[in-house]
Amino acid sequence: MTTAVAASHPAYNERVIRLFVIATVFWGVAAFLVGVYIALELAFPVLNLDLPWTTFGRLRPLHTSAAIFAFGGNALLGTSLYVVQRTCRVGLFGGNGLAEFVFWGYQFFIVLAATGYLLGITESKEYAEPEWYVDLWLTLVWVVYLIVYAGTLMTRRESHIYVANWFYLAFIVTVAVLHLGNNISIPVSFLGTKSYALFSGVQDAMLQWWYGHNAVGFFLTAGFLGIMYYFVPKQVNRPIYSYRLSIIHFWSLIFLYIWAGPHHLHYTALPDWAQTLGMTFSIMLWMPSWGGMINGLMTLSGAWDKLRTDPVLRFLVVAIGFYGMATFEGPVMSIRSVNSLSHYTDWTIGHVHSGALGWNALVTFGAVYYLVPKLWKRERLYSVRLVNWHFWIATIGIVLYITSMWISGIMQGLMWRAYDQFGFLQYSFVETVAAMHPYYLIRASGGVLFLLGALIMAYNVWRTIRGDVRQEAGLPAAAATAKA
Amino acid sequence: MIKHEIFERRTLILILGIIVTIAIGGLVEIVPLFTIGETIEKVDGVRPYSPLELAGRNIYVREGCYTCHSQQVRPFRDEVERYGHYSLAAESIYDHPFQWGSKRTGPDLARVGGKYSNDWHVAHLIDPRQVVPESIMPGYPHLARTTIDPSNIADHLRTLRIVGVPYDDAMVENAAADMVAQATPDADLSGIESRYPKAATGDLDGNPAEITEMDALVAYLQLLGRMVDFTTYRPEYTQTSATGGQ
Amino acid sequence: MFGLEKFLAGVVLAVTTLVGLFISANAHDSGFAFFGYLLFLFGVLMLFRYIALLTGKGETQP
Repeated sequence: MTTAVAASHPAYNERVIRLFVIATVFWGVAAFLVGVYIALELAFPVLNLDLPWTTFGRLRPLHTSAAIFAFGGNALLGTSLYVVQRTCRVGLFGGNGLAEFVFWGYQFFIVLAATGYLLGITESKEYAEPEWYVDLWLTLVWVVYLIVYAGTLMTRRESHIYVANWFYLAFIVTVAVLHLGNNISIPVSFLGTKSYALFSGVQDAMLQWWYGHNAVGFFLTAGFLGIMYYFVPKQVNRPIYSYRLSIIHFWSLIFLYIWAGPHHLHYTALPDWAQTLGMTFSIMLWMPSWGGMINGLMTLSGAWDKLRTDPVLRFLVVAIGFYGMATFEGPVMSIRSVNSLSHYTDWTIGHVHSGALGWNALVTFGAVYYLVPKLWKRERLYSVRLVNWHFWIATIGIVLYITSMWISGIMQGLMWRAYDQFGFLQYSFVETVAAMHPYYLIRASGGVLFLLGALIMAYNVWRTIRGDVRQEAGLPAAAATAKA
Repeated sequence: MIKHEIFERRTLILILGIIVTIAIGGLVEIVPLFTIGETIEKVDGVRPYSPLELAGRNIYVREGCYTCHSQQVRPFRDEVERYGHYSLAAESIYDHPFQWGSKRTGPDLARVGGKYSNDWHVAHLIDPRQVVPESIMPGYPHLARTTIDPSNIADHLRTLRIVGVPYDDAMVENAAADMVAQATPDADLSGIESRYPKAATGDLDGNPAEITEMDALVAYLQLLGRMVDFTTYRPEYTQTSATGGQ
Repeated sequence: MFGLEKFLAGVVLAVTTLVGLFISANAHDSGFAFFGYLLFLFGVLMLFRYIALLTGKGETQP
């Protein structure tokens, strides 16, 4: 990243990063497991067990929160605190104490939210389901996180703030604004769980999707671009392709993303002018998104051959490819006429998962595989071949997932609007439900593969932490070294 | 011309730049929804939920029904034919938070009120496949077994009043009594009918002896989409001063 | 973290545990009582964790 650094740095705070990495792997497996279970519930409703705590409606937020906030959140918090130290050549502001409060406080938030959902404690706002008291706790933890992160930046020993940190900072700051804006609710009692949202109807819908889309834009995109901007150049040992492109795509991305919310509300009672703004800005958003993809991919210029031998790099690069795919699909689905077909269907679910599995999860796996040997002072991962297995199993799982949802989603949309030759609606709603069944099975199998890949990763990480090294041949066309 | 260096050297400037940049879109899209009066036109018939309906709505929220069911009919020919009149902004004006939903694993429920009998709803909620064999919906038998305590429902109405729902003093005072009366067969319904027109009343869950969560949820479902009389409704923008519009 | 900050952290966590107990005793619904128990548990465990860190009994690597 810079030329040889002669100056020394104080000891980095790595204990807390180790905790975050373990938490990321743990919650990832948990999130994928719940995901597989609810996918199977849709195919086999008997799995709801006729019990209140195990119905799809209560388990779904468990899955989404576990995937986004537990898995994704620990990945972001952990990598951001690792990257900020290394790119600023300074330890964490507030030292281990403050950073461990962020870690344990965040795990506590996850446990509060998750146990709450099973008990039926929810605000029913997507990706903002936790009730008022959990929101307050998260606010506290997030403020401390911002203090640690920004404090580290301010006490840095590098003159410039590296690009990854712009993205992490935008993620932290914007998520704070979104969280505060969308979670204003009045508790019925300060000694009870229930609260009522301050806003209602149309205004609440706009606020919710201003939040919801930017949870994607800043939590799942800007934050993870921070991961890309550090781990890709480090893994491939090349500088980022273009500094100028970084600047342009950073500011245009964070500016345009905020406007995209209304594309979740096409043809609803939200005023037309807002829908049009949402659509237009969503389409424009394709450009800075692909700017980021180009910047990441072109960093491999002159080093593409490394993909043949380095499965960790494969995770990072294929993730960027899926990022490009999802950020093309998104703008397409934001077009009102396309959305008139896709809204409420499984196509939305397919789109979400191409981004969440293809981009967020794969880049996280790449970062975890990079970090584990370094953080536990091992020469290499326990097994590079297992990383390769993970890569292929996960990728096949993703392809099964998204293709089945494309088919079922478009089929649903077309069946709902189909008329027979007499001018009557051709299908009753339940006929469309029955038609989904085989695709629910395929999607569940994709999820099972993805979970299996994550379990392989968990095993590999555990053996690496223990210090074991697997005797194995290098990958084909590899040199003698199998260094990760 | 600002050199980008200033953002890379001064953390607080970077933070400030980020905040300014991300604030613009939100302000432009959110603020006018509160300041432009025509955003939510006034529609006759829209009223706050009765205490029992509110309890039912809270169950709907609690069980995550919105994860499979939407409540927002779009202005498409096929959708209007399948579900009824497209949803008006005013119809969800007292929904704190809104329940428009974003997925139709099951059908839209915006106008499900009055389309199925109470008995159908009870049977369907206890075991959906008894009524609709191809259904993949979970069963909720515990709703029929769980009684509701009306004693704190008035607190809920007071809280909703704080966030702008026009519950008047009579509604709050009679909240617990109204809740019980709505689900009790042969009760005196004069209060409920005057305060909450079109509320579904009587033995909703098939168990006249107790007020259960099933009563509440059925009461809520039976109201959905029925508040506005679409035989007489005309959109505001079609009205001239002669017909009472602006 | 220096002396005063350690003391302050301990006080804050102790208050957290007490708030948790108060909540679990006075909560209006069982879900909130459960929150009180978890808050109490968090405070206690976090206190022990800080004590372990500050007496060097945590992990050996920083």
